[in-house]
Amino acid sequence: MAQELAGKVAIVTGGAHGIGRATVDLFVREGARVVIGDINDELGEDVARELGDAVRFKHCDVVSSDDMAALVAHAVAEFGGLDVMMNNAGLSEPNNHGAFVDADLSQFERITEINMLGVMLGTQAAARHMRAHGGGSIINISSIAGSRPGHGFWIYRACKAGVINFTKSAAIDLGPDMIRVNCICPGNIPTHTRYVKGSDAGMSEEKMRQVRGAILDVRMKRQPLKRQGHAVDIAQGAVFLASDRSAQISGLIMPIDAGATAGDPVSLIQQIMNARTEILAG
Amino acid sequence: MARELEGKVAIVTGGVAGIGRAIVELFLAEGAKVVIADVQQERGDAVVTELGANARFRQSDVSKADQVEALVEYAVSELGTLDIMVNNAGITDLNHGPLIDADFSNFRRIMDVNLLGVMLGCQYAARHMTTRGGGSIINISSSSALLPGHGLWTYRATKAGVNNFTASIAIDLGPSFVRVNAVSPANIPSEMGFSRSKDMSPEQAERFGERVKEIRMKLHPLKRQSYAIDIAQACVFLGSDRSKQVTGIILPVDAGSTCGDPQSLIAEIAEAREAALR
Repeated sequence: MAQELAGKVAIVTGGAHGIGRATVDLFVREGARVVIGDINDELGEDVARELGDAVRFKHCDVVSSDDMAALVAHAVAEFGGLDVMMNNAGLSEPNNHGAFVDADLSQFERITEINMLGVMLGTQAAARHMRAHGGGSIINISSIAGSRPGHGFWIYRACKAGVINFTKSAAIDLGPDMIRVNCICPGNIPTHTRYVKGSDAGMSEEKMRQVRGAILDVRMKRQPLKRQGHAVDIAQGAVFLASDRSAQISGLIMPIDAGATAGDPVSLIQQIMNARTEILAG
Repeated sequence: MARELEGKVAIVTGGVAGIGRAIVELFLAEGAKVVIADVQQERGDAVVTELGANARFRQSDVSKADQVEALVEYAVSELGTLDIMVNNAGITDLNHGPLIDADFSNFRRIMDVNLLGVMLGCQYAARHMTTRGGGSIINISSSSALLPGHGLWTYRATKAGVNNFTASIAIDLGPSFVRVNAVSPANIPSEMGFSRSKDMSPEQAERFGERVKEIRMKLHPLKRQSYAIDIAQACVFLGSDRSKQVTGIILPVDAGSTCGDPQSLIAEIAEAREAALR
């Protein structure tokens, strides 16, 4: 399975680590040239050095429209165009794991700016180039927290739901310019931005590994397909959406979550039948 | 872009024409071996003669459990296993008018082929796949399920059922590593979509086909005509190991036509306002 993206130029925001980094690696393997946009200069430059000639790093803060315009201009100047824009940079909401009445909303502005305005500005900057060059593919990273409401992460969820709605609206708006806009909803992908609480700072590596393992076990129980997801699974979805195989696909919200949001994985029927049997026996 | 399905064995129901035929051809090009299942024996024989040794034909009516069981057995005995099951066979509903005038005499047959056929295909494929560590099942749905509306009453309901069933069975079969996903096409020119043109001359049918495309294109955000191969490409992704973590999804391949309202009421309202003020 090789070279799905031969000759294409892509930008991946938040590309220095996690899902973004896995996407950069796979895009390069599939023949693309990639510009990483990230606020982490040290890590971004390391990754670009490691991956060689097909990769460039450009410092950018996704909430700055100037930075985003410069990022697109950098891709065009370095690699001669822009075919694929992956708006991946995001920020979690580490402290709001509890009840909403106790939630801390002081982070609202920063979280909404990065997760939502960042996607809008990235889409806009890319579309301004793509519109004049026959189209392109924009891939936004949402989350199953956005497609399925629930406990905690109040701001993060709302942003990711906003990304889903915006993806579809942008697909409608940019369709006549042959720009496709799609969205991936990762579920239960272990990356360093997840599962870290402020109070974990002094924890030993070993303890941290145990904590993460325990969290993954809990999540696996609600996942129909009993396979642990990895960042590369999201990258594979991005390769499909970036490639010409998906030329007729736009406005799609694609979960990559082992079926976690397909429906209700807990069999209430079984529990009810068990309760019935218990009552009849007792 | 080559060889995404090297060494895999697939069944494609309704594979002699239209979307099914496009899936068969692309799967072969990507390195798979394919059993084509269809009710049309003669066309099936002609298609495998044309496509060569990696394609087989097995006459099957997907609404008959014994025939679907025999189909899966045939793939396993002839080609050694079954990795991908594409439940594509379907029939349409000729009710294009208002509900009060609709004819439901075809209800049973449409349900049997479009919904029971998918259920049986999933069941027999899964019975094999669960014994060999998993597999990928792909059900072909329709945009008419995601976007309720006029006409095609029974057809829509069957396809909505297919979407629900796909997600339910993804949950049920997940522990056995059988992935189940649906592809939701829209506006693909095929024999089925333009079945009403059978009373036309070839020239009239072609003109009619062009008009239908134009009418539908108005509601496509992406101004690109859909082809059967676009559906086949999505099936390659879902059939390949690239989608190992993907199950229970409904994947529209429809140029954005079901993602929202492509008509800008905002612009119309602004125009109406201007007109009222004049």
